[in-house]
Order: sequence, then structure tokens, then C-alpha cells
Amino acid sequence: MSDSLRIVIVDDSDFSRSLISGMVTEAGHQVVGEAPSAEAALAIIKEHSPDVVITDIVMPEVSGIELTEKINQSFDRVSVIVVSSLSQEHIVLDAIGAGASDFIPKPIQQQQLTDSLEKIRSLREQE
Amino acid sequence: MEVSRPLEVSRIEELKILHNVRLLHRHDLNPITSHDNFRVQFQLAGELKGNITCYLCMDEHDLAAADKNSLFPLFVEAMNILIGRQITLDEELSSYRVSMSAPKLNMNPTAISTKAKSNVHKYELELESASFTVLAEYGIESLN
Repeated sequence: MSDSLRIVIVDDSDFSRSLISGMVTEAGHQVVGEAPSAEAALAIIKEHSPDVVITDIVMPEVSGIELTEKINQSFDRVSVIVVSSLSQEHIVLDAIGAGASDFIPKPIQQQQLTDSLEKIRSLREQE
Repeated sequence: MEVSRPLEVSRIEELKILHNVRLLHRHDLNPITSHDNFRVQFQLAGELKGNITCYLCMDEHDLAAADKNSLFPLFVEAMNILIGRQITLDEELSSYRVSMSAPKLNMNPTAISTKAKSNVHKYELELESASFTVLAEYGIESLN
């Protein structure tokens, strides 16, 4: 699977990380790291240089939106998908404004995640 | 001067959490009292303030510790999704800029009754093997 994406999952819920991890694998991609906080995520991203970070918004201390901004500022080649149960228009716009490639509302549907990852993969192939 | 007013939250009839887990609104009018439960609280900040406390009622269940440990994270995630959907889909609430705190968990049982309480919604968390009563108590208000 040379064209599979390498992915880091960030969510303070073990349950949610496990769920997303299963969906990522189902979509044919590789989970290279998981983190329960933004701070831990940044260390993992530095170490593993993933293609994609999938992050929840609601986390203690640093939110997923702030994490997205930090990733955008510090890591050129990392795309971010933001997921959240709160998905009002202003939240989606905040996520996209922070540099997210996509926003997926919870509960996450397998097809939606697969499509979102496929879009990122295709764009990278064209680069 | 800011004036606060309490808000009603729309009930959600059915929410699919996972392919084999559903949350269903309960329509029975009889009050429910629970003495054995876990609870999780989410705080709202921004243009909506207050908190929502959700109780997973264990009164009619006798679960082993391992089963409780696997059930509770599912319950917390289900409540996170329920509240997020309620705020997002409600015509009035969706217009407010609001942020939600990380869940605060409490494993110590507390008595909760729905008698004479209009701000408590009753749900059923349906798993493949069992079904659990869930109570969601809303104490939120808008500042306008």
C-alpha cells in the first residue's frame, strides 16, 4: 500500500481514537500515532511526519482549532481533518480558517472519512 | 446590561452512534428515579452558558467491573455526540457562538428523579446486548 496515507489521530477520548483508528484502517490507510492532547500530538507529528492529522476540537487546554493553526504554521506537508460533535457553521468556518482541509461532524460516517482521505491523497498525487 | 434567559433544548428522537449503538428518545410520561448511576457533565461557554449533566442509570443492571469500564467511554462519547447534535441542529441554538468543555466524569452514584422536572430528557442507549436508561439534565441559558 505505497499510496496509503500515514495518519495521526488526536482526541482526548480513548474510545473515540480507537473508533477513528478502525475507520482509517478500513479506508486502507496507516495510523502512525495517536495522542490524547495537542501537546502530545505535536511531539508525535515532529517524530513521524505524517501526511494527515485527524483531530477533535474539544480537548483540555489546547483545542483542535488551535492545534490546526500550529500544524499549519510549523508543518508544510501535513493536512488536517477536524472532527467534532458541535458543527455549527461558525465552527466549521473556524476550522477551515485555521487551515483544516476538511471538517467531519460526529458521529463520523465511514464513507465520509474515506472520501475526505481520498481527496487529500489525490491532491498529493497531483503535486 | 446582559439579561439571561433559560433555554429549552430540542429532543432528538433517534441518533445512531455506531452501526450497532443507538440513542432513542423515551416517550413515557412516568417519572424515573435513579439511585445507581454514572454521570458526565459538559459545560458550555460563550453566548450560551451553563451545563448539561447526563446520567447513565445502572439501577436495573448488574454489570461486572470490566463491562462497566467498556460501557462508560461509549456513554460519554454518545452524550458528546447528542449534545453537539442538539446544539447544531436546533434552529435557535445553532446561531449562538458556543464552546463545549471536555467531559467531567463522576463515578459516584447520586439520586436523580425526573419528577416535576421539565429540563430532563429521557433516552435509551441501545446496544446489541442490552439497553440502558439515560437522563440528560439541561441547565443552560443565553445571554442577550
